[in-house]
Amino acid sequence: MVCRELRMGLLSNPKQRQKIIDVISNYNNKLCVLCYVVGVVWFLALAYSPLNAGTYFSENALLPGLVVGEFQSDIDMDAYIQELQDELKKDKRKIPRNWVYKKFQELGLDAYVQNYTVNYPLEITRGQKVQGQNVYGILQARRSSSTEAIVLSAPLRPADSKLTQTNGGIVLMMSLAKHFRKQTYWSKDIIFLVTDHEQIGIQAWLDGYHDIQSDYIQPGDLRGRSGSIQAALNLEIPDKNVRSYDVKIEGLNGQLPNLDLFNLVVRLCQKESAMVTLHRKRDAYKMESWEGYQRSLITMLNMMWAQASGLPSGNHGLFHRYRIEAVTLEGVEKKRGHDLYDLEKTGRIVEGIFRSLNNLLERFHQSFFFYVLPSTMRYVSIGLYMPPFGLICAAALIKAVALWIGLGSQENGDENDEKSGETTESGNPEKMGPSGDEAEKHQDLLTERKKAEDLSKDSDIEEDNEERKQVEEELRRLLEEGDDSSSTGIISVFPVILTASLLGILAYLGPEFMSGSAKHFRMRMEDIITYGLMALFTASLMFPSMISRKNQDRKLAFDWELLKCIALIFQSLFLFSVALMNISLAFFVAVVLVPVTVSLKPRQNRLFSLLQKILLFLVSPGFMIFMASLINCMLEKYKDPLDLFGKTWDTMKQGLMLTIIDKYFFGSWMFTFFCFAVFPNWLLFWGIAHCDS
Amino acid sequence: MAAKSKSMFRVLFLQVFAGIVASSTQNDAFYEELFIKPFRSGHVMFNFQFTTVWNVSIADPALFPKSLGDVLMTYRVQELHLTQTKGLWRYEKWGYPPNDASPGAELWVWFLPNTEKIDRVWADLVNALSGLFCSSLNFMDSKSTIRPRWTFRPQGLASEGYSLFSGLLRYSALPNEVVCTENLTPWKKLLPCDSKIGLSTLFNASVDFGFSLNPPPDRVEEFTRGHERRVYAVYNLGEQLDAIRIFNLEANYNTKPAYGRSEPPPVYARRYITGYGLEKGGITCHIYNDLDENLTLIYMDTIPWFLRVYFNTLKIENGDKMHYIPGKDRTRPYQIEIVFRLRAKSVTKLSLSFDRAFLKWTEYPPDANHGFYVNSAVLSTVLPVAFHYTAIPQNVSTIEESLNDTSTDFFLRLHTDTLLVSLPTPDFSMPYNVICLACTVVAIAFGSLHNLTTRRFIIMDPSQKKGGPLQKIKKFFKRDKKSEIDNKPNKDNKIAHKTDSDKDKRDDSCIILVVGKNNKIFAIFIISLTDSDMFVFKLLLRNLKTILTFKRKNVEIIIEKKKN
Repeated sequence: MVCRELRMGLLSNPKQRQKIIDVISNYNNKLCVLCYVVGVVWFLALAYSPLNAGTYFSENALLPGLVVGEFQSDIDMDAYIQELQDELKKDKRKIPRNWVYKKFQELGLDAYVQNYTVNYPLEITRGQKVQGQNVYGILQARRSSSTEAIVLSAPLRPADSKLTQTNGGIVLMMSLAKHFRKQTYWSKDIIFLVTDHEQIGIQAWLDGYHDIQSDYIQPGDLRGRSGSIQAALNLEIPDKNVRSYDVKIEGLNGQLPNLDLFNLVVRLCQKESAMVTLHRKRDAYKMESWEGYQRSLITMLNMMWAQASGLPSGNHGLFHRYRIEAVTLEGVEKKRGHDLYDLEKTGRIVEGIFRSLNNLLERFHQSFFFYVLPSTMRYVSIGLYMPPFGLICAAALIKAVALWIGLGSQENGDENDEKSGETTESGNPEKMGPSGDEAEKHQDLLTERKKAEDLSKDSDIEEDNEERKQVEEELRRLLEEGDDSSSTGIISVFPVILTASLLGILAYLGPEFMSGSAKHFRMRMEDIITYGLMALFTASLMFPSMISRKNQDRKLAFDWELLKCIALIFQSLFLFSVALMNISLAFFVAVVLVPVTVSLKPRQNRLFSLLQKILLFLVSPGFMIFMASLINCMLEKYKDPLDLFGKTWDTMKQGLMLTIIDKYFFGSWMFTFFCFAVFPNWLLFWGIAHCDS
Repeated sequence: MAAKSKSMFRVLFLQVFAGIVASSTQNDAFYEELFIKPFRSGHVMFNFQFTTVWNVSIADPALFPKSLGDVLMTYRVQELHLTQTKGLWRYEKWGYPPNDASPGAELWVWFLPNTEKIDRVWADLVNALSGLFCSSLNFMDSKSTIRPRWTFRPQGLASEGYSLFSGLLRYSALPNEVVCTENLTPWKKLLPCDSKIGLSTLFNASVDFGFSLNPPPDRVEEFTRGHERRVYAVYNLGEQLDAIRIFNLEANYNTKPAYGRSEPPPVYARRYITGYGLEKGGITCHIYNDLDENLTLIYMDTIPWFLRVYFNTLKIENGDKMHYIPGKDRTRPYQIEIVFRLRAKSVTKLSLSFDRAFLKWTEYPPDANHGFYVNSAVLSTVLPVAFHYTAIPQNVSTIEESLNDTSTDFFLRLHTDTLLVSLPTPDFSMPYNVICLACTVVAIAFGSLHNLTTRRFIIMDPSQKKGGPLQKIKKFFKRDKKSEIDNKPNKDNKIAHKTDSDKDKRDDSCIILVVGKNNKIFAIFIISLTDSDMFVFKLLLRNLKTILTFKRKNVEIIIEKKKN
């Protein structure tokens, strides 16, 4: 006995483990509900300011705001803006790159032009290549040998662009260049970058700078280069009427910049007594009040919603992959009235940021990379948000463990020692489910058994054992009556898993096949892809009937408990892995998926079964994408239901298209994640809902 | 040897050249020259050159600094070239500098023939120089020192065949050892007059150079260098300063200067790091040749050992001759020397890839971690034209002598950018976290191990499970009963059982007497269950009744005979 215990529990107490097993198998349903509810409530409560922490500077080399802003424009910015507007008016679609290039040269920067070619995937442009040009100027630091650089970028948008115009930012950049050039304190080169084609332009420039070749964006050679880029600031400042500044942080695949950089931008805006917002939401005045909590929660959810999309919220988002910390500073326009902040004020903010970045001795590494922001001055770090998220996922894991224990006791029944007896007893509230009358029998047996056990406490051990044997044998016999011997074990669930993964692969490869047929249907590419994926999704809903065996009256029979156990573990696995990189995505998927998948089981009652299927359909990837588009449109405040639906439909099509294109252009893994993780996993549960055992 | 200082002011539009000559009795001569050149980018170059020409041994110096002479003599130096630089020379904007240097410190030395144990001598020399010049040249150890075969030739006079054996040459560079004001003082001290008089008085970092072309130059001269005409305004300061004590020079632009890009020099190079992430990377060098003819070029690169270069990834157009010495971890760098031809009007791309190594934690520098620097590559070639060329030819020593030069070959040495590479770096600022984590793990493991080794294992009846509080109470009463029974003197019982239940009285031991028939004790088990050990001590005794006391620390068994 001593030896066995030694072997079993060198580092753990086997008795305690047994206790845990007992607890899990006895109370798993209650535990699951508790974990989920507590997890969700706790997570949402993190927006409440006493539960999170105030931001602070970890990197003391930044020394924010220590120097007095000296920036005063040497150039007549209004005249420049007028010039730029005239250039833009000449041709509404063309971008005045030459004008920018000429100005950079006049300012004494080393100006360069980068030509790049965009080769759209999926033959969206029918094989035509799109040309683009970025203009950039390098201000070489006198004190160093060009080993490090900081980037100030702004997108150049044609006059007919729907996005906010960025003329103010571009002109400000020129004015700053002139000011910076006169200063002697620079220890890092400053690259002034004006890009074309929004994010594609930035990606082309970054690829060119790091000499990376890709099939879709072919960056031309860069003639001028500087050292390794330490940080970047992207400006989206309109030329007038700036009401407040919005800081955008979310990058590709939900990557965030170092919190220190965000703090720096916020702090310097505040230093210039400018209003700074996060997702256009101001900080609450009284953080600890109920209103304050509501505001923080809305800001936090907005931020998480943007992060969960995996799309960069601005041009800064593509820098993160190259280990360059970057944010976008957006000037929010005021509709009426005179402007509150002029460009010089913005200039002083940018000057302050750059002087701080210039002080950096090391790359950003001190502060957090994983966080959620409920306001500009508070943050929730990974250490705070992981426990509640873990609880949400734990609900699924507990269920999986309970199922596993149930399965184990079923197999080890022959050994007939007391342990297995206990687990068979306790792990089977699930198992009792299959049919009503059988369940009753089992219930009787259970009570009988409990009585027997009570008795056995006082009576002899041998007697007890004998009785137990009898009870267990009867139990097993009853169970085996209901079970088809061929529908148990790993072999029975294998076809389901295989089909689900194949469908996942099909969805992944789908867009490429579909794009080939676009020509024949004469449809737009986004329609083709949306309808194609919908068709695939609809077809996959039929998958239970695809794999049901013909010889048994078209019944779908397999060991659903084993499958559910596998599916739940897989689900927890991918949720946790995604949480490490993009907590928001993991959180939203978990909140939606976990309650449905945990409570799922084949039901005999037709009504319940139908309800369950509907519920499961509501959390399907297809419907989730639709819901996400709907929420997006609701956030944009479309009131009319018909209008809302139409807009949602458009948003969904565009969103799908964008996600797929981003996969090719930027290496976004959103589509891959849904194809290889969420979709096959959901199909497994769909299969369970249709199981006839 | 020339001290070089680059300062940028937008003042002059003429090339200005000023010189002072001093000579001593021993036929030694000392020249001070200042060469000023404005660039189209708005920058101005000031090139101070101090030349000492001696005809006797440096062991007995008149003008040559004794401190340096001693070092050269002691370490058997034939030629020594040391440069310390701050910033980067931009060839594209400014053409070629009179003296080319890599960012940071660079040292290359030819030793005298028959010098033994050159590596040892080199190490000593480097230490001596670092003391002399107040900089950390002592980091030029074997990890960063190489022996280039072709790139660096002796520049002074040497016997024939001397340069064939490159074993006498050592080259090393420290890209992050930038020059600062404290380095300027030892430089100044090497001059015969220190900075008390002469051009070196301008060697003050804070002095605003008040040069202007207001006093007309002594003479405006036109020189040709390799078919290129150049106009110089020459001032002889000795004569100028006879009349007035202070010499001011002022230049005025006739029209408002506009920045423009000057025509780039015929050959230049840019080098950069490619790729991202901390696993792999690459180095690419673009070499531009704007000439109408092919050029032969030697490319030399020293890559530190922690960038593990894959030789097979080295790609280059027209690769010709190659000298490659692979690096060794923690002992020597990778050394690449390639001779190849640059095609006319071409851009040659040279690239190689590497793996970033993991350093040991002690190998990280103790200062703030920007990343790791890689030396600049050195390119050597011979230009057929003197466009943008200002260096002094090898057969003369002063700038004045170099002005008129009719040769058609111009030896050019270029240094590319230094590189900054980030290696996988642990976050040293948070060792506290690591310690906490490690301690927690140890505590958990240790705690359970300790628990296991010191636990008393008792055979329990599985049917008597621990239950709720009621059971515990029941058990409590049961136990009391049991101990009462135990305390009773038993006559019939053959086993005298002293359990551990009466813990208060326990002396960390328990004695079991096994009494056989005829009241004979045939076995005594002394089971000691202490905190740290458990052993069974067994004694067989016949025809004796004994009282045994067992003490935990010093084991002693007292056996007393007693009558029945």
